[in-house]
Amino acid sequence: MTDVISKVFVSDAILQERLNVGAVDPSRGNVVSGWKRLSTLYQNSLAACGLLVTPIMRPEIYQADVARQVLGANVGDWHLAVKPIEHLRPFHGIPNVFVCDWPFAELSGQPLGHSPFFDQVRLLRMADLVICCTDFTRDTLRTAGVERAITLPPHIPNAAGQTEQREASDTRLDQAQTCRFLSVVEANQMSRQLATLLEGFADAARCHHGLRLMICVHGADEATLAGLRRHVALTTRVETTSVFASAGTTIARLHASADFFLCTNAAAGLDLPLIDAMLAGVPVVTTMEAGTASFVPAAAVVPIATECEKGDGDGEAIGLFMPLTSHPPSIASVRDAILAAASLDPAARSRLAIIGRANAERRFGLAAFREGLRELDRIVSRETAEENIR
Amino acid sequence: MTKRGRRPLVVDIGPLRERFYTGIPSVIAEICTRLLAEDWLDLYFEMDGQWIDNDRLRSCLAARSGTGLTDHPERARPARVIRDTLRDMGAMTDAVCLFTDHRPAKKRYGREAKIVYDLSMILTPECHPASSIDMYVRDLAEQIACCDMLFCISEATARDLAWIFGVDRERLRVALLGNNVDLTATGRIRALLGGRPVEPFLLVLGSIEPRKNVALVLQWLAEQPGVLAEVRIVFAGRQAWGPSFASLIDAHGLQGALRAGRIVFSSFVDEAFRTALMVAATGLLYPSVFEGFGLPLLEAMATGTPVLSSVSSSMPEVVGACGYYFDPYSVASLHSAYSRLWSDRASGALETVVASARARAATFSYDQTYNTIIDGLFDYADPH
Repeated sequence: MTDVISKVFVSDAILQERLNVGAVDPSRGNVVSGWKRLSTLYQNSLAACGLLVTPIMRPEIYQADVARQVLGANVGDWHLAVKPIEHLRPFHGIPNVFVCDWPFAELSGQPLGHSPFFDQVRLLRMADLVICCTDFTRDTLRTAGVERAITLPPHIPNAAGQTEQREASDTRLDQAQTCRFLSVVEANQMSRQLATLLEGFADAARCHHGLRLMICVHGADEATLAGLRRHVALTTRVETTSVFASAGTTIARLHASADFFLCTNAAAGLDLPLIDAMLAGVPVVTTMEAGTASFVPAAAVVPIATECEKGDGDGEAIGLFMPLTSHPPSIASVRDAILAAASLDPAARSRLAIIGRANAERRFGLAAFREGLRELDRIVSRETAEENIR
Repeated sequence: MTKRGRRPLVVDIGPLRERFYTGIPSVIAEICTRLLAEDWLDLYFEMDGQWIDNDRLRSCLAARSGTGLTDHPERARPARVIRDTLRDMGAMTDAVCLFTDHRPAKKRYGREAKIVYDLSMILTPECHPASSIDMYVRDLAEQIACCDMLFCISEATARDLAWIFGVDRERLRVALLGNNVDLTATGRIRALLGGRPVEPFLLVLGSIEPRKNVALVLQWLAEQPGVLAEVRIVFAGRQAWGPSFASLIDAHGLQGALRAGRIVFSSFVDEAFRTALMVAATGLLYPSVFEGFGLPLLEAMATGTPVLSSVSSSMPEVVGACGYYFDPYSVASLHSAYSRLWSDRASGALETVVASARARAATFSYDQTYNTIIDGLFDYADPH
């Protein structure tokens, strides 16, 4: 494979943010840490498969042969863009592979709000190949007419040593008769992500003694965390909730002490915190819609019932112009799922954890990525050959 | 056809309102000069909602300034009278209209076309004030949709239009800009210099704004202070928007070099001074992040000044194989290009590069630009 594909130019939201787009851009993507992490995961996965990864800031400005020479781009090299759809741009003259993690069933097929980049179908069809993070996104794209779409999530490694810690904490928690739930949210979306979760947890905590909730926030400064702590105290009115910033080893420590991972997403593609929890052996309580349903087996979760809702897609920029279907849980369904999880015996919890971890390790292992990359190589090489003939 | 048997052509000449005809106004001036020499066209010029009569336009073209176009607006007839006139003659469906600036988002004439310079506002928004982007992008898709023909000043702009807006190639014509460098003026400057040696300097020409990317040059000088011992760097261009030149100098710790005159900032320069700088410079350093064409590069090539050019967007279409390229986001790449130039200067190989650049510049002609536009406007192989 590497004799054909030698170098991958990667453009992503991290590099774009350095150009100060993030400060003025209303779309959510380039300031969300999930996109940054996704790009890092793809880059690491490609490097682990022996490919040379070269970050590129604005691929679209290099249009001439001499530009490709200056950048050291050769025949067989390709461009991977890991960004929200409206930020995708081409690297002219080499194959373009776009990563798509769209979590809704609808795709726009026309420019909206004066932006040509909101014609999602047209943009995605410009790619030589779209690699989707989940089967859900792949199927959505194919239904919308984006035929060149495959599922190829990145390899998501498991942090070493967490398995042993989990086993120790399972024993401790069983003895203490407490049940700890962990939830991970993004700082700039936490008010939406936490609204139902907090109320549902508060209801459950009133019904069941010994429930604890740990909230880990990505990308929050101290002031944001302090504000969240006040909000949580007011909302839940129970002193059983703790708020942490995600930094360093915090998430590993929280995984080790959690009995369940709690995820109340109304729409999700590849939910990285959920996968991290599964890989760490934490059983999950989650909604099972969109992307999540396509990689989490039903036998590995305590499901949260949801409702169907047309709205702005939980803050998506394009949601201002077209309704997007999401699946929010109700307060009661969150409460019921928490209570159901808390009532499980240790053996049942352990079964959920084992199934979840085995599935995540298989699906997001390096071997799976390497196999998917072979398929990508076949398609990109074929497209390039056909382009050369044309 | 109008009553006079000529083809009606309405031209929006918005860019000609500028006080000095450089850049885009200079391009439109070249086109209008040629249009006014045609006897088969019934011409109507429109600017800012006014009908500009042909003689008034001729005066401004001769003066290379739009000052006369904006004087006494109360004396001008409104532009709608053009349409009333054409309607009265029954010529609206035959009429062709060329927009050289922002255009209405709905079609008015039988055939309409627009010149698109670049899509920098969309592709590099960080290089522009948000208010300008909003104004430019607001109904751009509609403007493009209602044009029968789009003239792009480079293949790069055409490629961007096709990619971003899905415009069919049949609606796109590439009208590369021309070379209107006054070689008698450059000759006069050379005569004044009289072969006397000029201390080497690199000229960085362009307004001080993020798109022109002077920050890359300053970063390079901060990282490679030895360069300033070899050449002075002269920045010539007005302060436009974004961080000021002084603040950029401070940010890169180059106050000493500025005080010592190794870095020179001349702000806006008039055409004569600009020509003098171009002729005397060791090289033109053009670090722009994005261009629709890159006229200063062509001017330098025609003048015989070597070019160190950003490899972005349209610039390679202008420079071809006759320059020293670098990535506008890479200091290392810029230093490598500079080192190649310096090495060729020492070996004498630079003479060959300059000669081929001069020859290449001579192939760019506003007659070609004009013919491409006329052919596209009237959908003719030969409009005459």
